[in-house]
Order: sequence, then C-alpha cells, then structure tokens
Amino acid sequence: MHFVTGGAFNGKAKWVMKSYGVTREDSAWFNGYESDDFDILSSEHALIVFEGLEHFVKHVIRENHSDPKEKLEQYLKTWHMWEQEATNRKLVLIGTDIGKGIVPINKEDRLWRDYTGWFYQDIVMVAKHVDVIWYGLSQNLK
Amino acid sequence: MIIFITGGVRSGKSSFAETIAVYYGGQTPLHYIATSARQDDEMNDRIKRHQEARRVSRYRWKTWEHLRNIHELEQSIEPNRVILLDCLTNLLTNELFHGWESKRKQWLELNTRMNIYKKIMDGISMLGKKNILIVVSNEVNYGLPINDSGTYFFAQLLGNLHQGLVQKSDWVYQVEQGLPILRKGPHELEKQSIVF
Repeated sequence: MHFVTGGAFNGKAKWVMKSYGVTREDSAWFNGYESDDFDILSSEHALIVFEGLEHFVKHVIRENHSDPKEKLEQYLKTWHMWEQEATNRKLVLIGTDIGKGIVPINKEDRLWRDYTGWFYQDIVMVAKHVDVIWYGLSQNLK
Repeated sequence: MIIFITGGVRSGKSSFAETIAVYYGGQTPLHYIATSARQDDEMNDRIKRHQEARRVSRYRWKTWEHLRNIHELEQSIEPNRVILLDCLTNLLTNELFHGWESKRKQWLELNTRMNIYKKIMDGISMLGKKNILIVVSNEVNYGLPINDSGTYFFAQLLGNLHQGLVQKSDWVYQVEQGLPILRKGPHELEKQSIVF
C-alpha cells in the first residue's frame, strides 16, 4: 500500500501517474471526486489507484454508521487483506490534506476533517510507503 | 535565474526574499514589483509602511506599481538586475478578477484560466531570463475545500502556478516561522509543462 498525500492542487495525482505509468482513464483508477463508486476491490487489476480519499470519508460519514471511525478501519483492513492475497497486488491511495485550515463553523465539516485525519493516520500505519507531494516535489516519509 | 519562495501568512517570507535580493544585487538598483491594489486605508497604510522601509534601507529600491501584465516590465528594467515580485497571490487575484463587474464569472471558463496561467508564467519567464527574479507566494491550499467557484478556481490556478514555478525555478524555498527550508537547488533542474 502506498499513501500519497499533500495539499489540494499540489500535483499528487500527476505524481502518481508519472510514478506508476497509469492515467485517470484507466479502469483501475477510482476517482472519488467524480463518482461514488467506492467498490475498488471489484476491479480485476493488480494495481489500483484510489484518488480523493477525503470524499470517501465523507461518503462513509453520510451513511450514518454508529461509529464511522470503526467503519473506515474495517475498509482499510479489507483493502490490506486484498493486497496480501497476491504478491503483485498494490493499492495506491491519494488523499488531500484538508486539516490545516481554520476550524470549520459547521459540525459536518468538523467531523469530516477529524475522521479524515484519523483515517490517514491509520493508513500511514498500514502503508509500506508514504509520500507527501509539495507542488510536484515528493518527500518520502515512510 | 528564478528563485521561488512560499510560506504562510506572516511567515517571514518577504523579509527572506528581501535578504536574498540584497545578497544578489545590493550593489545595484533593486527592482520591486508591487502588486497590491489600493482599495482602502488599511492597504494604503501597509503600502506606505513598506515603501518607507525600502526608502530608509541602505539599498536603492525602485518600486513598480504593477497590478497586472508583469511581462510589460521587461522593457523597462535593464538586464542583470534583481527583481522582487511580491506577491504571486495578489497578481493572480488581479488577473483573475479583473473586470469582473462587467464580465461576470469569467473564471468559470477554462480558456480564460489557461490564458491567465500562460500569461503569468510567460511574464515570469521573460523577467527571469536576463535578471534574477525572486517570486514570493502564499500557501493557501491546506484547509477544507471551498465551494465558491471564484475561490475554488483561484486555489486551483495558484496550485498549478506553484507547480509550474517549482519546475521552472532554480531555487525553491519554503519559509516556516522565519526559517527558510530549501526545497530545490540547482542540481535538480527539471523543466516540464503543466497539464490541466
């Protein structure tokens, strides 16, 4: 698992395309900004890219689970297991860092920010590689 | 040569930029491109304070109040001088929202945005060709996404400009609490165009 993060419009997806030789048009590329299709494991591909993780988090929050944090952890576990099942499988997760602004006025946004931050921390624990992208330059954290 | 400096608000990026300007061009007239629109007293006061600081400094500053179209200055500044552009966020604001009263929501058009991107990048390239150009900009894209279209496209364009500038620049610094962090030095020159 490879987690790629950084601020909005910093070239994260572009960096992934370049590093992995894939494009947004590939069927193995899931775009959380444009679709609510989060069933990423239905894909037949060995390499899956999931962009817009923060929107996935919002989606999960809106499903009204008793504990969204736990639900997100379950997803992460499933993804991790999928990866372990075959040696050539790899999941690249791209998540925008949305946690460095002013505290949002409305509660939904606050929760969104919180759950996204926690989810990213969980992902970093599981991921083998972590990169922060800063205007196209990568900084490897793990 | 192009030197790109970013940082948060009040991070000390302007002082750092001025230090670099003096380092490279302290013996020559220094050129300052001022981009703030004189909209109200608060801005006027800030402009006055900055002008006064440059006037009393030991160095010769020439100020160009140029809110848009920075490429026009290429004719006016002799080569081998240091030019300080402070800052890119103002310049982009002035370009993106220029004439909005008559032409509503022009930023919704991809073509308009691409032209602005190109105009600014070309202006920077022109000024950086025969001179040392220092570009100062602001970090703004680290909060929750903003739904207002003008702000959204502003943030997107600024992010794209920063990506383009990081590639074009010889030196890139991020200033944190007054401390500059070198993000890119001349050893890794890599020039590529940005795809929208």
